[in-house]
Amino acid sequence: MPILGLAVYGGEDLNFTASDIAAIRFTVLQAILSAVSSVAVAIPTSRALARQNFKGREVLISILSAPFILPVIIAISGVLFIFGREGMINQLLGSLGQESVSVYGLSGILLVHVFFNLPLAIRILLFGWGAIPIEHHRVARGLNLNAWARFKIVELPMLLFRVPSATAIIFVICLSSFAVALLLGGGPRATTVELAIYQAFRFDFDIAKAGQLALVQTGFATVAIIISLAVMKRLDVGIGYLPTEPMVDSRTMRVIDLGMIMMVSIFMLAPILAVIYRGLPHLIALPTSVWNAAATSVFIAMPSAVFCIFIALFLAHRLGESISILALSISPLVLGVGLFVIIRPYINPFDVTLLIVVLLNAVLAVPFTLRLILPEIEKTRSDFGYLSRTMRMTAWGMWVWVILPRLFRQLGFSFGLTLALSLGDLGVIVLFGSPENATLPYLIMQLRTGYRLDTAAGASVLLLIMCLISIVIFDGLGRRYAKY
Amino acid sequence: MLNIKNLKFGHGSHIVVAENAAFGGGIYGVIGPSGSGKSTFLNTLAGFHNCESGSVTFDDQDLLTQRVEDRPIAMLFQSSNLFPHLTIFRNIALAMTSRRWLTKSQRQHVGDALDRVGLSGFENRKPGELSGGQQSRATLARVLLQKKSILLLDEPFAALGPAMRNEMLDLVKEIAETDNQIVFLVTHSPDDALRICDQTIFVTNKRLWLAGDTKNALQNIPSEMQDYFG
Repeated sequence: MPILGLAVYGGEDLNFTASDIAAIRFTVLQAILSAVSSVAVAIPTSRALARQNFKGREVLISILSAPFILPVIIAISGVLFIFGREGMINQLLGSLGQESVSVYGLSGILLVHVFFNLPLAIRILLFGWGAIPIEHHRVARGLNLNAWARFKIVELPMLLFRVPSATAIIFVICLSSFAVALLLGGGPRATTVELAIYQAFRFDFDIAKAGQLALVQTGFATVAIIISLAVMKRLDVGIGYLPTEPMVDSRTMRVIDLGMIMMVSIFMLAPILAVIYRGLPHLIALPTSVWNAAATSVFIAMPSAVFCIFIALFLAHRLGESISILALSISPLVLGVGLFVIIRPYINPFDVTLLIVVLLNAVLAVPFTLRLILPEIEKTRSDFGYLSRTMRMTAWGMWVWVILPRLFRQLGFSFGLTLALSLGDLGVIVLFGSPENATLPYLIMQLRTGYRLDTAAGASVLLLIMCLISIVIFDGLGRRYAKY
Repeated sequence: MLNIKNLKFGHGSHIVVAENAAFGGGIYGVIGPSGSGKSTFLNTLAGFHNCESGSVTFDDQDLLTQRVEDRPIAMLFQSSNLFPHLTIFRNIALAMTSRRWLTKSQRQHVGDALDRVGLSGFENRKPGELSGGQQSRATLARVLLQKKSILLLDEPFAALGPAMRNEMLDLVKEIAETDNQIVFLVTHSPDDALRICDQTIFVTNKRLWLAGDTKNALQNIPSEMQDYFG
């Protein structure tokens, strides 16, 4: 519906300026570079994690997935604390008499995109390394194949299958990345289509222009959906999967592998640790505005999570999953602008900002929830479907007595995850938000823009704690009441 | 001659002690309950698993200090013995070289091996296009070209039907006799053991020992193995 609204409103008079064309070009360029960089780093890292066995490997892999639930504003704050104008790297360079580096523009956007997407690429490839039968490695060794032949025959086919898929998925995700471009991009040389939509909507209040650009973004989304549908069915990211038998080669390879793992771990963990280090001392003395924003975030996130679970249960079949992939590819900003265009004749959208944010956050989290609950639902249907039919159980009865009791664990984790994603959202709220109804991520963004960096860091730690608590509590509840 | 002395192997607290024994050319059935250590025994000989202590020598050469690649051992697993993305010809040729171009004589060797296992004409098929029995034949063709003195079979024919399994076992026997190989065959089936195994090894209660002639061993089942055979 929002897309149709845009087509009617924005498609009337398509007229792109040079800056629009530049934004389109930049959007594609940064998405390609982000995807290629993420996968390029993920290949040796995932191989190292698959080959080497060391204490804490499983924990490390879990920790490396942290960016998935990390609010984008925290990651950006962390990156800026390290690479920003006053960051650690530039301070070090300054003390050595070297010129400082700038993290704003394409380089900063790439850095944060790699930070966010590297875990996904590692997961996809790690599952690939793990899926190679250990017998193939053993047969290759037994046949006395050299290292190159072993790589070519045993590992390369997996890479040829998975690397294009991983690259495509990350390309799709980066096409609609907004918050990163908003905080690290901007200007004629680093504006994405999403950012241009935001600027047209928020600064110029040029709804027609925003609509036109939103249609372009929808075009991107269509390409993205086609790519997603083509590759996502073939991929299993394997939540929690670990290869069963690590392979060990020579001592030199072990040193290289562990060095790679260490470098990536530092890259992934340093921004988070920097935020905690900088923000923890200011956590106690946070101003009332921060606590109010935190309350608003909870007020939005709780109903979002509830809606999300209901929608996911309603869509819990294969066709529903395909439909939900649309939500992965379509940008929250486009949906927001579309919704604005549709409801504006009847109601002032700014009067129902929070409701819009609640609904959109719920819809956007559905694909993740479905990924978590659908396998268990399908297994239950496969295990008990015939039995339930012989007992003349209705579809409703099957849900109440058979499926739902077996879903508590997944529902608990999904609820916590959706809550965390919604708490950290910095998409739609930026379009409609104001200081009066600021959520915590929105307020952190404003604090950063106003150079109140200590308060922003303290608020970031608060947001981090809220996200972690959401997942820990609801995952724990799900596990506790799981009947199977 | 393969000699095992004071060999201890296993995982964690499940350490199996192998009695000292010498194995000459012939087929040895390795029989014991699931989880007793049959596969770990084979993996230890092949070098995929490190033993706790002891020695294994072949023709007076220490086997345990050799790299997997250098051991005179070929091994077939329960599954995934063939690379699914390569043709049968390429899968078999890997026993000689990983180079793309084969010499005329190498091609001839592959052809002869395929002939011997009855797979001529299937060179260009992928493993997925063959039946389970044909895939087993292909793995045996590769074993032929590897020309190793010891062959370890970790239930590679377990998924085949009785007739096909018997056919494969007969082929193993023929290959072992022709090439005078030492073959260790892990099996749960006394019938399989009686069909081709000259001698039998029992593994149970953290102990592995050579029980001697297969027919005798299976007629006079030791008390430790009574539960297993039922």
